[in-house]
Amino acid sequence: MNPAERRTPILDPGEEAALVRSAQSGEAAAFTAIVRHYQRAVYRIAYGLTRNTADADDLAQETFVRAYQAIGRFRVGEPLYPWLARIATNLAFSLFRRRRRRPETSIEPLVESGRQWASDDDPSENLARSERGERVQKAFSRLSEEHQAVLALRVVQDLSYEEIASALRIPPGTVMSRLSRARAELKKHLGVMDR
Amino acid sequence: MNHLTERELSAMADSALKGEDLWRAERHLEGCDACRGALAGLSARDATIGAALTHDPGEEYFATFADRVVGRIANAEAAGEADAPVRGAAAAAGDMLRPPFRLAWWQSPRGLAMAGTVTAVVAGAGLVLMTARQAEMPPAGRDLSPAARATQQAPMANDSESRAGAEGRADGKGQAGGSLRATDPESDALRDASTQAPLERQRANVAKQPANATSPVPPAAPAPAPLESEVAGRREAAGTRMRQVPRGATGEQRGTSPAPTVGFAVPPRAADEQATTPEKLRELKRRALGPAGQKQEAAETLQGQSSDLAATAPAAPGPALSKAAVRDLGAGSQAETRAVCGRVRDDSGRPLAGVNVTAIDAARTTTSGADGRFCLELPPGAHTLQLLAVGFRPSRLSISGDGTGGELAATLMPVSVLGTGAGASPSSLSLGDMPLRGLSDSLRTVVDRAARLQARAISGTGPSGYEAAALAWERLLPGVNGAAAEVEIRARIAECRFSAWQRSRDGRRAGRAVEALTSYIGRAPAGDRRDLAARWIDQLRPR
Repeated sequence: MNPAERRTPILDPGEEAALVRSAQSGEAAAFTAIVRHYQRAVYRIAYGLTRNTADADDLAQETFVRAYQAIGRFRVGEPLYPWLARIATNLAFSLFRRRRRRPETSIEPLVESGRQWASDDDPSENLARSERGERVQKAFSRLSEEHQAVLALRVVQDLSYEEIASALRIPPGTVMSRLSRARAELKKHLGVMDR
Repeated sequence: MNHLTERELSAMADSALKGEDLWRAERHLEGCDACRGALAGLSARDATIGAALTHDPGEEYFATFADRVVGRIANAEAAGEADAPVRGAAAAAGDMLRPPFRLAWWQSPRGLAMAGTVTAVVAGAGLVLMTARQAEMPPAGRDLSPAARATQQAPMANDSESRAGAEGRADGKGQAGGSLRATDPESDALRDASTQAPLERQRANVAKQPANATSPVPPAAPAPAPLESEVAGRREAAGTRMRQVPRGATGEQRGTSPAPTVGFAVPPRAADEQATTPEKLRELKRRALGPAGQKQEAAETLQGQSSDLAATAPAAPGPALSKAAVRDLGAGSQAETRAVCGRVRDDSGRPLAGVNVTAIDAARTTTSGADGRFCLELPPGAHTLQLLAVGFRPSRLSISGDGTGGELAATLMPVSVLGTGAGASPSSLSLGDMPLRGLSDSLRTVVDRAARLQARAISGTGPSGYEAAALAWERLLPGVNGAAAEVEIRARIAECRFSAWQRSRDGRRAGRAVEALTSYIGRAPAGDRRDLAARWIDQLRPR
């Protein structure tokens, strides 16, 4: 998939600000419009981080629920999408941490252990999971949370370094370093799996 | 030649290099096959990752996504989770996704462990405190001389009965209190266990008192001899149930024998609880309530009896049971019961036998007879009756305090515990595959897959299997024509959502399950399965 196709078109800043203002004033239609505009992008982030349709669905919806609850304090004029990406990323981190703390629940998608259980969890099976794709997923799941996040935002969502920096609240230079290390690590894992 | 670093290659692949760095990297790549190859490999891996981490759930999924989000928000608000201003602040601070502080502690095992430790420490401290209160002498008294201690004990002699009874300081309670208790060895054994320690201490103190200590003991203070006699009397009354606590010269407990008073303090006993045998006291009350001439007689009898019974008690001054006290006793004993009768029927008017009828506040219970009738002897006042019968919904009846109203009439509504056809109540909403047989082949494929997912979820332990199955069933909805098939699919969705909630109970899953069950109930025909769905919704409601 071409990155340009993956990228979610960002709303016109003025239009986005107007929607945010309306949502802040309690207009449900405005928030629904925001959801409709960013739902695919948020789902993609969610799926990229969880690699499981059930978790991705849950995460994507929860992202908007949290956004709704926090929209009142959102600074109008700031780009909305990195903020949503941050919410989704943090939620995914929370999910990982929770599953690490409670191993008995980690059998659900077993993302953290690298096993992709969800080959049949995807009812539509739109995405044919090739052998190579599964290998890449396994290797990806062995990355640290930070590296997974930065790589998913960059590769899946094609966010710029500045947007990733805004989403993860780290300096752009750190984004560059993390991406470099994440790619190197991924290459190493794939090399180990190829042996 | 210095090759490009991983960082430079990575930034190059992202078109993130600028200015001189970009120019230098491009120059290097022009002449370096290795770096070009590395960059190409990196880009290829990125493309593979992008494909592997991307999933399109389809247009139908996104068509209803916003509605589901809105529903979820509504559920969150209904559950009191949507305290937007508070969380908004947290969001602005960047940590909005952590659980709010008030919930965070129990989501972490460490927090739970800490909470448990604190609870254990508090409970332990409370136990120690209570034990110390009962087993130790008051610190002030420990440091006083015996004379001063005796002086300090003097007010206790005039203390009210209830207080003295509560604290087990029986040393100055007067004749009536002592005598009435003396006839109740069962309760005395309990009280003596708590009073023995102070008495023993007093004995030790008296024994320790120097010969020349002609202390100004007030007349009301308990003398050693009466104390001994009282203890002896109580021991006699309580038999061998009393345990001796070895104590040192200063009254502290010693030795390894178990402390007799570890536990809760004996609560204060009301005057009427300190009666003699119930029959005797009832008789006295009856007489006290009788004609005016009998009241005096009753009081005198009671007083005289108290004196008789107090033969072993010290002659310490104490208030005799006054006429007023007797009158109060009599007034309090107007616990004459009244018969409350009623009849229980089912919703079709047939009398119900074997219904358990309980007056909750009076702790009386009975069972209805073959004609559905019951009678309960209840004290005057308002009461609440609870009616329980197998196969019927529990019911409650309120009875007014005036005792009027005649026979009560109660109707119990049946609970559907039997299916209409095959006998047992259905455990599933699904009617089976029959309603889905008319679907097209392409939809049948999806049905088979969803059914497989659901079957597999049963053997799993987490909720995700059911959630995946629910999603699979949901995908069928847009293509389904025909009410029966839609009802069946919604039944499957509802089952999956409810089962997911059963596996992992949280507000979100509950909300989804309620949503799915509501959708099913809205379309399903009346019957056991719809009732089952309604009962599931009841389970999902926060209590």
